[in-house]
Amino acid sequence: MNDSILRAENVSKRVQTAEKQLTILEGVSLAVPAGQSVAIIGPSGAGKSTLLGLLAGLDSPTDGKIWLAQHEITAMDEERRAAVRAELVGFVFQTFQLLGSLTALENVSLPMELAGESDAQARAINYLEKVGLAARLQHYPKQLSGGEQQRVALARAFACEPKILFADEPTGNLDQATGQKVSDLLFDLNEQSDATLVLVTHEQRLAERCQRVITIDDGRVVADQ
Amino acid sequence: MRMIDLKLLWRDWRGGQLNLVVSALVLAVMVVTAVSLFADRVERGLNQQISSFLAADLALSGGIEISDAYRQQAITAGLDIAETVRFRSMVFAGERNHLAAVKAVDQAYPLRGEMELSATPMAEQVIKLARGPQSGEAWVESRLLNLLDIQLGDTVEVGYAQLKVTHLIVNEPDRGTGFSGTGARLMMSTEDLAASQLIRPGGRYSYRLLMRGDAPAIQAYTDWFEQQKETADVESVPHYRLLTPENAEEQLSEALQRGRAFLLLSGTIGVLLAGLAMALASQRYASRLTDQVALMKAWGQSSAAIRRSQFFRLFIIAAVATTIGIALGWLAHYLLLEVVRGVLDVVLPLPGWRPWLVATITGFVCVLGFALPALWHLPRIEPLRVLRRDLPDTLIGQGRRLVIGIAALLLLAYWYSGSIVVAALFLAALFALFAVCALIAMQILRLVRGFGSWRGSYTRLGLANLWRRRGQTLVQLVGFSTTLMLLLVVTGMRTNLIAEWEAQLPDNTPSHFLFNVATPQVAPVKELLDEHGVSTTDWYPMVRGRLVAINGEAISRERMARSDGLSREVNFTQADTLPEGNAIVQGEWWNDIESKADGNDETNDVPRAEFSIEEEVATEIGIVLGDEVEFSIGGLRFSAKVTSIRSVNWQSMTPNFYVVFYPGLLDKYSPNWITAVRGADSDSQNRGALTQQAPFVQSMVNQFPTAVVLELRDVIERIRDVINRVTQGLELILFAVLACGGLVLFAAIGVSFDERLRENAILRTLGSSRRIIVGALTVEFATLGLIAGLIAACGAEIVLYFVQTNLFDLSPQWHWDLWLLGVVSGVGLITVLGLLRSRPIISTPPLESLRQLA
Ligand SMILES: Nc1ncnc2c1ncn2[C@@H]1O[C@H](COP(=O)(O)OP(=O)(O)OP(=O)(O)O)[C@@H](O)[C@H]1O
Ligand SMILES: [Mg+2]
Repeated sequence: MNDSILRAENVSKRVQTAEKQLTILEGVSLAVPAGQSVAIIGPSGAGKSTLLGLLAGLDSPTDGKIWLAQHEITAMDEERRAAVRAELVGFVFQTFQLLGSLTALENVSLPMELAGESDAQARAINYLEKVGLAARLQHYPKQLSGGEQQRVALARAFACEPKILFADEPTGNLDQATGQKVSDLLFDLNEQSDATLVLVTHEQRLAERCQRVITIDDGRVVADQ
Repeated sequence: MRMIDLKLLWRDWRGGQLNLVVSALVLAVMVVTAVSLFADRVERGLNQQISSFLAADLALSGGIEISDAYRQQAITAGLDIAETVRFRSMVFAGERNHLAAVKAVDQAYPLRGEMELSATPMAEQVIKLARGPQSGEAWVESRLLNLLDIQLGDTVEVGYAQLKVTHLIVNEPDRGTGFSGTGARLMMSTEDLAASQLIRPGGRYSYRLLMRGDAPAIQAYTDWFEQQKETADVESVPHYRLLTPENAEEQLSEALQRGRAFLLLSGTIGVLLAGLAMALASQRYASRLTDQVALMKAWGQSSAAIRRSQFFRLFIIAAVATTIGIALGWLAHYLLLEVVRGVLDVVLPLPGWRPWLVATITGFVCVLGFALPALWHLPRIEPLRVLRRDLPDTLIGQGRRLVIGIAALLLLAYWYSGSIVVAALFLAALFALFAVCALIAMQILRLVRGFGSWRGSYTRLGLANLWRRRGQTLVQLVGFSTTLMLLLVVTGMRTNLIAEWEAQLPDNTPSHFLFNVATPQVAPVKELLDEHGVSTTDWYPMVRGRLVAINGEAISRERMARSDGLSREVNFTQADTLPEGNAIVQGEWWNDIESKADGNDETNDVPRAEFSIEEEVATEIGIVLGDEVEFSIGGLRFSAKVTSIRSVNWQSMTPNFYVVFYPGLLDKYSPNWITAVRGADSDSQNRGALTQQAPFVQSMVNQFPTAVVLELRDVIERIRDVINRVTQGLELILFAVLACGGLVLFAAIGVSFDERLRENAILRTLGSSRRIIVGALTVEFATLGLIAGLIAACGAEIVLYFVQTNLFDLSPQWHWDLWLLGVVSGVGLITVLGLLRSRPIISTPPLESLRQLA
């Protein structure tokens, strides 16, 4: 178990709402070896995004422990978790989350620039070529279609060469054909980079392309294949 | 700092997200820079003049000739001395004449500093001389050449003296206070005074004894003077003042400080509006940055790093905008200087460090007080926001941001005015004004909302928008209407006030005044006027003097200061009949006079020691009927009893006096005479340099060169000129403030921009035509402008009403032109600016709008 890059032990998340305490996740445990691709599926409201956020260290659980690489992120404060995220983690989102005032190229190079890497520009161009957008470097997000925007987001995520990539419904806002193209790209890039992939989706077809599928329902893991 | 921060800043700028924040900051800094540079340079100029103001180390000044004792004491103390006397006199050459400010100086003048002169008309080369003009010479200010149509080398007549104009005055070491309300300057030698016959009893002269010496000698003289004041020589001491460079400077700088504070406080309105615009724009900027910051945090940027980056970026914004603002302000202050140049007669030195500091601090305080609070929460955004966009932002509450903003303003206002009380009162008054505007606007909005229901569809839409976003509407209204109101007040003062005052002058208002007519000249002058068919009011003898004691009790300084009219030397007269336009309020006029005067001319009767006083000064200084008052005229004292109190119609513009004595009482003080001339104004259209003077003036000036003829139109013209320039300067500042109001409008529209974009996209998708949307926006902004214009005009009318009735004693008048101006400029400005800012709302295709907002 110690060679797993991501490990969760008995993780629960409860929030206090106006009337009562709401349990979103309850006793979730899992371990992901480096390089594996994992899909987390489940119905809407099952707690998938919540779990992803916890695993990525964006939030802390009410109970339980989580390790990212060798770091026990549940024992850290936000500032130290941020340092771990900076070192290991990449993201792809359902709503793309490109910055509207930046060109495609700038969007892709931004995280590398923030990390102070010197060859940000060259690597960004390289990755935009890989996602087939070499001709759109200077275009702004609003000039790109949804599929193209998500491809920019993929380039941005992979260009940082993260150890673990978290993707929340990467095709959720796209139509079937475009979604297909984007997921092809996602798996291609993932294969080239040998990053660990944790992918939340409710699309069976996308989940099937992963090596492992974890199903959660009502905050609990109900299946793990 | 890191390149990436600069890059991010550049990208935000490129995306247009910083336009408003930066423009508001630039404008605020510009206004403050222009105003404080202007104030600083004028202040320095005046102070510089003051410190060399004396052309000596010490000066004794007074309205009567310096008595020998004072001169002798200076010599005994080992001081070098020189003497000067200043007065106004007609100067003429050929057909032309001008009422000049004359200064006669002796051989020893100046004791400190040098004369700066020029021997050529354009003053190409400045000659420095450590002496005054020699006998027979006149040195003049260059404008006198034009006024008299003469050249260097020509001869002018000053009184009965003929003087050759040899040099132009560029600067003189005791130039004076710097406010050139008076005529062109002329310097002559005291040796020519006798020949000119200009010095006569009762005239208004300012004598000076200049002294130079080492510190102990100066101190000795000063001590001696203080001693005189306390002991024996109460007689003449009140007529003299001792001037040192320090006390002269002190007096002036107090007035200047007040002036600067006033200007900067009016600039504060600009800062306030710019601050409001900045706060609104920053809020929008913050909401745009939210996603970016959440992403950065997800990517592992620490809060501390983001805070650092934020500070760095704001610092750059502040630095750049402040620099631009200062540069523009530097240009703008030249405009201000240009406008008031004719009023201020001062050589302007370069500004000191203070204006730059004021401007820089203004820039940074604005950023800290208005922009930073709206952005403060950004580093604390939770990274989880990238997954859950519904997480609430922990913005600093509006209340707290308001408090911070007001604190920033208070700090600036305090710094500008140097007084926390003034700053607080000023801001309180401003906010009260805002509140009143907002209340009125609210009522109008409520009314207007009703109209929408029975008008066309876009009218309804536009009016509904105004009401629905009334918070935002009020912000726009308040900023605009207050600024517009101030502008209308200033414009109203400039364009209307003097004209109204002139129009309300009675038809028989005098056109000219004759002064300085000696007693033996009165009869021939009357004859001359008769020849020209010119009528006059009564003739009044005039002597200058002051009140010394009431009922045997010396008048204290404090008591004296209560009355503007009597606190200095004033003109007294005597009369047998009650002067025109006066009425007795208490007591009795000396009615028995006629029979006496007619009965026996050569009577040995001593005139009765009685006088009549004007009611307002009587109340101010506390004199009642029957009081025994002691007067001092030219150092001589006598007492008289109050036997009547008069009201005076100051509006009549005829010679009026606070104190009128029983006839004959002033005879021994060799008075000179004054009268006012009526109906000599034949050719009133010809103004300016080519003025055709009334024919009697020529004859007067030729035959009685020592008399002074003053034309009322010239006086009014001069007042008008001063008011014009001052108000134009204020208008310039207010235009910049109005621009700040425009930014508030922009920023406020920005707050609802996305919402509007969405609504209009939906309307368009539902089939509304572009015309309807443009129409609705036009109705919305035009109504906003109309309300702002009406409130502004209404407020301006109220202010002008008070100025008219209280300050100018005029009957109030409507100013329809201001209402028109207010409404037209309000509607015009707001509609144009509003539509300009809304252009993207109109022109973006609906699909794209919706996608952008997704
Ligand atoms: N902080 C919170 N406060 C209240 N409720 C929350 C909070 N976080 C999550 N929830 C609730 O927990 C449940 C699970 O949310 P989550 O976003 O993880 O579901 P999901 O599986 O990602 O659903 P979907 O497929 O629709 O994205 C939802 O009902 C959500 O409303
Ligand atoms: Mg989800």
